[in-house]
Amino acid sequence: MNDKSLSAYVIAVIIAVVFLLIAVIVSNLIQYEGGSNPKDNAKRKMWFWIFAVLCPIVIFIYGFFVVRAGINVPTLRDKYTTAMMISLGVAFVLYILLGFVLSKINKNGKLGHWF
Amino acid sequence: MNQDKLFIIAVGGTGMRCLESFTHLCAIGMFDNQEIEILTLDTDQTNGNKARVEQLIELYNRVKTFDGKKGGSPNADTFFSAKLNLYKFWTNYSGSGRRNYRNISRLTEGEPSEQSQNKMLSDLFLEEDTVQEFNLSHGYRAQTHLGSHLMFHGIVEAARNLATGENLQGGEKDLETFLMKLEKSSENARVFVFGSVFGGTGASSIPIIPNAFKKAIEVRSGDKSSINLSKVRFGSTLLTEYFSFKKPDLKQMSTKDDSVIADSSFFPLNSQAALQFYQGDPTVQSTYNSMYHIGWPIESKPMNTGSKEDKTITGGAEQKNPCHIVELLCACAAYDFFTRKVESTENKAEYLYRAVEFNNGAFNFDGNDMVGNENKAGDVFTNRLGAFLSLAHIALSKNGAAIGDKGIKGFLNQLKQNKIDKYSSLSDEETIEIDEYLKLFAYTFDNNKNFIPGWIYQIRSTVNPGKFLFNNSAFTENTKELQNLDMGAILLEEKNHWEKPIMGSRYDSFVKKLINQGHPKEAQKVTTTKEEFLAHIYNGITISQKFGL
Repeated sequence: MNDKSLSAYVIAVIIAVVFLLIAVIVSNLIQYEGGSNPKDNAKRKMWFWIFAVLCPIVIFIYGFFVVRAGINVPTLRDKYTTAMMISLGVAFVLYILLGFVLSKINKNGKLGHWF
Repeated sequence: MNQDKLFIIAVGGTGMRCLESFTHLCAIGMFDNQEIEILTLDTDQTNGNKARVEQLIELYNRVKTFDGKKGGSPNADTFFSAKLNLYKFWTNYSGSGRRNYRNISRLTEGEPSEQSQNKMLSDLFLEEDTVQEFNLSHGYRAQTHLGSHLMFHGIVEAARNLATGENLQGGEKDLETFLMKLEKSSENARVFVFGSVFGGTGASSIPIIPNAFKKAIEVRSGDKSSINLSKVRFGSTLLTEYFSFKKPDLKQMSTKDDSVIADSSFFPLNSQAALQFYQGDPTVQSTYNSMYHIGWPIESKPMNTGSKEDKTITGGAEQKNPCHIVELLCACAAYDFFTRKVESTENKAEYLYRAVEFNNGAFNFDGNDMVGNENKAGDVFTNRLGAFLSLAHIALSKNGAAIGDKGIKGFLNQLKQNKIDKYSSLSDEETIEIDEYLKLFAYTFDNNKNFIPGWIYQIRSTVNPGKFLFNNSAFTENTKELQNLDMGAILLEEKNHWEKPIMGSRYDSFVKKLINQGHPKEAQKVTTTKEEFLAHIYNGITISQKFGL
């Protein structure tokens, strides 16, 4: 695997972790609501999944328009594109997996409502 | 708190309002491990204040009731920790031959020589055309010389009826149960009497209660039982005037039934005379251990009962006066009496009072002013009252119970979502009872969205613009402000505010503490699901308030 292809995976992992951190922050900022129809749990879950969808989109935008645009050698560009596409799936799965683990560790808290 | 057996007697309208404050002190948890016997004593069965406090205590007992165990059991370090047993007694002045003094004392019966002597004796002390003739069903109307005589008679007459089992009236069986418990406790009994001294039923009854109860126990048992008044410890409030009301006019006083009506312009004079009496009277000195002098030294508040009547309210259901901080001070006097070391009387009562900071025309109260600072009592009081007010806002503001929303049930649902579902078995009815109590304690809105202040809001308004333990924001009446209220910042001292995390609100940090640290402990002696729930919230809030007690 060449350096550029490897960088696709590294960037994907970093972006996945950053989005997960943002999801944690946003969930903690959403206050507990009371009454007969509290919507705070639904809001936290909604934002978790919004970031889950945004994560691969952002990786794709960065990878395609920034990194790939700078590769001039066609074979290297094709290899990078393949790695980038695979990394979208890896990032998405990693985000969900780490989110699930965090949710279970924090099962009595705000993150517990993600799943 | 010592392990003596505690008794409360609330006499007359003012006594009932003091009892209301005392009940709220029990609700916030000031009387751990105690089972308290409470007697309401009045001449006026329909008195609005009496009805209000009896309903409050019955609601308190419903809050504590679980699984058929009526009134629950005593707990410690939690809300509603005391068990309250309520007894009601009233003198009956409604039947034929009982409407006024002349009827009851049967002045026109017996031998002519007896009639003549009785009449002369009566005329000597009681004005013939007015005092002997007015309708007694609304009480003694500030005629304390008449009231003392008739109240003593009423209690002893009840004892005679109990001894024979004949002519038993409503409330006499309750009085019997109360007296039996008093007799059983004897030297371990501490009896505190709530009442005013400025003219009503309380003023009539306070001096005679110890001897009347002793006599009643003896009469009921055929002189086989008694209580030793030098061993049973009695305490009382000497509550001087703190409110006024509309002066009666001549038109209202034109009938015999209303020939005597209390006039609040005489209350200061009545108070002065009463205090002189309590200072020197040998009966009071020999029967009471502690007397708490409580007054309101600034202008008396006019009582507006909301009635559209032009007439002065003499009693009955319309006499439902709002709460005043002196009533809370009376309740705190009871706390002091029940917790202090009380020596035997030796024919010398101890007179107690306390001074409070007065600045810029207003009083400033803190916890030490209410209950003293022995054993950090002031901090304990502030901690528990603050915790209960926070709970009220959680139910009424955060979870909308005040506007008809879920209240405590909503809070339970939130706990369930945070994976604490051991309280899910609490029924809607049980959670609604807690909401109803909190509404009476704090506030609610009626069907027309008008704000109705509860007990603590009314107490606070009597101190305004002075300080009363809490920030002004804790007493907002605005719907939007209530919804956004930061209930972790209601106490005056910042060090007792709930932690504010970097992300989220104070309420969030409270929920976290509730989940991680608030579980009930064995020392709290909670055995039912409802008691465990109340203890859990108590722990969560008091840990968040960081008093370090």
